[in-house]
Amino acid sequence: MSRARRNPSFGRAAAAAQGRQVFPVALYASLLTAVLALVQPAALRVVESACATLQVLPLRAQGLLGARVVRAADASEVDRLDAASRAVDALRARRAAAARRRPAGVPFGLVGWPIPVVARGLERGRGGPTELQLAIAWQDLPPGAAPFVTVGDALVGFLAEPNADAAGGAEDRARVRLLHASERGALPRRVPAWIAADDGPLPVVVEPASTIDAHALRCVLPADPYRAATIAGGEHEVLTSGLEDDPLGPLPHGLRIGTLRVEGYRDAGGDVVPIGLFVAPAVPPESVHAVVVWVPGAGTSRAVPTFRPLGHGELFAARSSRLPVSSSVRIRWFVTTDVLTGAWLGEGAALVHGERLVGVLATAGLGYGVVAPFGQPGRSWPITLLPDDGGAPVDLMARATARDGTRVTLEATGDVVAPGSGRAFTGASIPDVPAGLYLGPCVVTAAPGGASIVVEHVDPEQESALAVFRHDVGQEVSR
Amino acid sequence: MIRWFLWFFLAPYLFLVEGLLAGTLPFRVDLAAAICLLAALFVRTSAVPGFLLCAALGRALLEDGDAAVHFLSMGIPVAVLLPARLAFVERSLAIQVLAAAFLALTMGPVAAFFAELSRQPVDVAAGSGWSAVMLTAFVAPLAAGVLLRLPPFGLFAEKRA
Repeated sequence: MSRARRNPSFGRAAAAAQGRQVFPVALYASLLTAVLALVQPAALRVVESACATLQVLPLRAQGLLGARVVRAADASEVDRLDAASRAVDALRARRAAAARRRPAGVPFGLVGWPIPVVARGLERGRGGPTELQLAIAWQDLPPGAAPFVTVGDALVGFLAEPNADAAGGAEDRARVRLLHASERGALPRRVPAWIAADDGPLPVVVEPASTIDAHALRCVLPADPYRAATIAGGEHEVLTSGLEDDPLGPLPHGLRIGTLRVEGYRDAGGDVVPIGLFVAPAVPPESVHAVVVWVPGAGTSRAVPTFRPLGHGELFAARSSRLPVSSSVRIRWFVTTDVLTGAWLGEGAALVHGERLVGVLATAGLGYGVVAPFGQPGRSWPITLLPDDGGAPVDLMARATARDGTRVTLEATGDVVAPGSGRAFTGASIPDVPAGLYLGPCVVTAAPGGASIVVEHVDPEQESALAVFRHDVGQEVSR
Repeated sequence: MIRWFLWFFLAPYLFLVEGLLAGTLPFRVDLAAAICLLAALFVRTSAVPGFLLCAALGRALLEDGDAAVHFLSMGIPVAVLLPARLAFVERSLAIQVLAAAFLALTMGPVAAFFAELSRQPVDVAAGSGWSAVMLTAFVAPLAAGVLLRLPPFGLFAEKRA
C-alpha cells in the first residue's frame, strides 16, 4: 500500500507539490512581470541598475590597483588627442563656411550662425521628430534673429517662441519647430510656396499633413486647382515663394521645402488622378545635425559663436579594462569613474578620449559602465563625413558591419556620399552622445546600393586619458 | 540565504568565465544553457524564478539587451521544460541532452523575439545553427553536471527521495 493511501493528508501535499511542478505559478508570474518590464522599461530600470551596481562591486575593486590618468600618458597619446581636436576644429570651420554660402533669397543684412542640434522632440505621427533643441540659449541669440531656419538651401522650420516659464537648463534652449510640427489647438505655420511644375510654377500653401497621411507635408489652396488636378507625378521641387506681406513673418523666396509627391488613383491609361499633393521634406529631420539661424549683423564684428562637442555636460575621468565575452563579434570594456563612489552614469553615455568618441555605455550604474565600442556590428550610427577634398560636411546614417581591431566598416545606403578619403564624426541623433565628436580618418568606397566606409578608430587599451561624458541634455524629449 | 547571496554576486562572473573559455577552447561552452538546464531539471521549483533572475541580471551586464529580455529568453524555455520532471523522474544523460538541445534551439529565437518587441539589440548569431545546437546539447549537460557539484548550485538542488 502506498504512503499516500495510508495517509490522506500526505497524498494531498504530494499532489499539491506535483501541481506546483506542472504549473509553477511563481515562475509564470515573474515571466509576466518581465513582459511588463519590456513594455515599461523605466519602471524596473532603477532596480536593475541598483542590482548591477552591487554585482560589479568586485570588478570595481580592480580600480584600486592603479590610478586614473587624467592627462595623456605619453607623447603619442598627446598627438592623438591633438589630432582629434584639430579634426573637430576643421569640422566646425567647414560647417561655418557652408553656412556662409547664403541661399539666393536670404537678405544680405543677415549672417548665418551654424548651430548644432543637441536633442530632438518627438511627437506622434509621421515625419519623425517635430522639434530640434539647439546648442544655444535663447538669451544668447541676438535680437532680431530671423524666424526661419535653414540647412543649406533648404527651409527646415522656424524658431519657436521662448518658454516664458523657463529659468535656465534644457528648457531655456533655443528650439526649432520643424515644418511638419502641428500643435493641438493652434494653427500650424503655413508656408507660401510654389511647385516647380513642368508648365510653370504653381503657387500653393504648404502645411503639416495629418497623421494618417503618407507624407509629412501637404499642399493646399493651389492658385490654379485645374492645374493641380492634372499635375503629373514626378520629382517636382517645392520652393518657398516668399510673400512680401506674410503675416507670420518674412520668409525668403526660393528656399527648398522638399519634393512633390502626388497621391491618387491610376486610371485605365496609366495616368494618375491626384487626390492629394504632398511634400517629402528636403532634409529628413533625423539627419539634421546642425542648422543655420540667420541673425542681423552683416558687416559688423559680431562673431559666430563656437560650439565644442563636449560643451554641454560633465566629464568623469575613467579607467578601462577589457572584459572577456563569449561572442567573437562583440567587444566590451569595463570602465570605472571611481573606485567605490562616483557619479551615477546613464546607459548611452559616451566614453571619450579627448574629443574622440570611443564607445557608448551599454550598461551603467553608480561609478561604472560596460562600454560597447563604436562600430559594434549591427548598430546604426549617424555619421558626419568631412571629405578631404573640400566641400560641406555630409550627414548620413550608416550601419556598422564589422569591427576588426581598430578598423570599423560601415555601410551607407543611397547615393549620399562620393568615394574618397576624409574624417568621420558622430552625428546628432544619438541620445546622450554629442554631435561632432571625432571618430577617425576614413575611406569611402562605392558599394552595391550605397557606399562602404572604413573608419580607423581607436583602441582604448592604448589610451589612458579616457572619460565618461554625461550629457546635460539627456534623452530625446517626448511630448 | 547564503546561497542566494553567493549566486547573486557570482552570476556575472560565471558569464565572464564563459567569455574566458570562449577565448581558450576551440568550441563555445554555453553556460546560459547549462544554467537553464539546471533550473529546468535540478533546481527546486520554488527557487527557479530567483535563480533565473540572478542569472539574467548577470548576463545583462555583459550581453546586449536588458535583464527582462534575458529573463524571458531563459525563463520561457525553462517553464516549458519544468513539467517534464514529472514524466522523467530519472534525469538520465539522454534526457539532459534532449533538454539541452531544446534549450539551445529555443533560447536564441525567444531572445530575438523579445528584443525585436522592445527594440533592443541582442546578438543571437553566436548560438544559432545546427552545429551550435548539437554542441550545446552535449556540452551543456556536462557543464551543468560540473556546476551542480559546486557551491552555490548544489545548494539549490531539489531534494530527491
